[in-house]
Amino acid sequence: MGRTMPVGRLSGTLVLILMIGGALAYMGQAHIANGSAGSSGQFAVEQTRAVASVAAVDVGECARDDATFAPTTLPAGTVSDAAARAKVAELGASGAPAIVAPVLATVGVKPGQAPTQATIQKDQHGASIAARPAWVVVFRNQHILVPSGSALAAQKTEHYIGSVLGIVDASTGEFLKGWGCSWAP
Amino acid sequence: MLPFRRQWATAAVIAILLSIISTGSNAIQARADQACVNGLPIDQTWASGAWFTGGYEVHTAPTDARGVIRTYNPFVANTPPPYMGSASAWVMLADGARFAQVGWLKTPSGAAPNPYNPFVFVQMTGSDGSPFQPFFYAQIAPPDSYFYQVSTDRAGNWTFYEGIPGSGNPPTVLSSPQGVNWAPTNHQAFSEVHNYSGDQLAGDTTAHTTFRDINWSDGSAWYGSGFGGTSNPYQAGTPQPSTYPDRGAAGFDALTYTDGSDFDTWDARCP
Repeated sequence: MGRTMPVGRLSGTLVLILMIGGALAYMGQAHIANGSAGSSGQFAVEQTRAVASVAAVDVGECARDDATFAPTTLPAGTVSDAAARAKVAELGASGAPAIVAPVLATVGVKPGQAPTQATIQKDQHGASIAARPAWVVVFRNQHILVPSGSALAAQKTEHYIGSVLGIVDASTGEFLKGWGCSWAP
Repeated sequence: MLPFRRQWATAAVIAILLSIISTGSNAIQARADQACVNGLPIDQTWASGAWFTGGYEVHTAPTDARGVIRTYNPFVANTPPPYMGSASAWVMLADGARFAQVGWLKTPSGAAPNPYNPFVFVQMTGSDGSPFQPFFYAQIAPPDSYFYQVSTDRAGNWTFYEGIPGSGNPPTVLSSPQGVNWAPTNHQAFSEVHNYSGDQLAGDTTAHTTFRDINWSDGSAWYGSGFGGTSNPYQAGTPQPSTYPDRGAAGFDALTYTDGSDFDTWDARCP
């Protein structure tokens, strides 16, 4: 009995260490995954620095008159680019995004017109989306099916979005606004 | 032996707590009803179809359509075109093939069962009937209901709204396009799906997707909808093209109503 108890305690301690270690290892994997994606975030930051001399982040075919994306560097502790691209992917996009960039996003509600104080887009909480620290994410080569229109239409043609842009709040991770940029062939 | 048991119990509790903490972010991905979350049989026969459950009404000169729609997170068929699924619920002003709509939309994303909640969307056509690129807004979750409205002055100016009923705040303007010169002749409110058997219609047998206070305006006053008349009966699972099988007749899509402005939709296969 005198020998049994220490062995029992030792076994118990080993089990405790192994289980906690296993759990920590699992959590560590998640951190590694985030860290790996975060390195792409650094790449995106570098990309942004490279274009910092121009007026706005180039979002290609997704550019609109009622939205501007000023280059910026997001402070530490904001939403990672991996989380931002995952949020936009929930629109139905897959694969790697073509553009992921930290920006100050300003978005209006009148297509074809630059945003003004009177036409600025409000988010779900009633706050203006004006110079909002955010991630802008663009996916290309997609097939995102949109609703087919009037139920009374005599004939329909299905339309798939080919490229899509999404803006994700850098502080909260919330999806702010997005749009289809081209139709899939 | 007691110390060993205590240590074992402590280790188990710690491991469980750590497991919950580490997976908690996944657990809140979908605050959903999703009764058919484990999937439905995905159809590969009826390509590029659409099925509609809801109501419509024809008018001389409508200017607005509005209503409150409950959010739902249905299963949608994650399969390539032309059988790709999607599910949506919306209000609309329309004329022939021209339309302007606002509501929520869920498209397939990620591995099945696809867990992500729907997004608010706006979509409309130009005067030639060709669709403009849609807009997407906040990601919303069940069981919340949202107010949606589409308005036009019938002179080319349009406005789309979304709001939170009972919040006391005015609805948010989502988009306000100008120079889109066509005038609607009907208003509609529907749940829509795209894969014949693999999309879950918005709602299940215990948590219906509710359409409430679906109203329209002629620019001077608001009126309750007259859905469900003899010339415009409510529809459940009506196919487009019309030669495709009817999801209502197949026992998939269901609708009940209390009057011409208030109805529920759900997928009868999902408990």
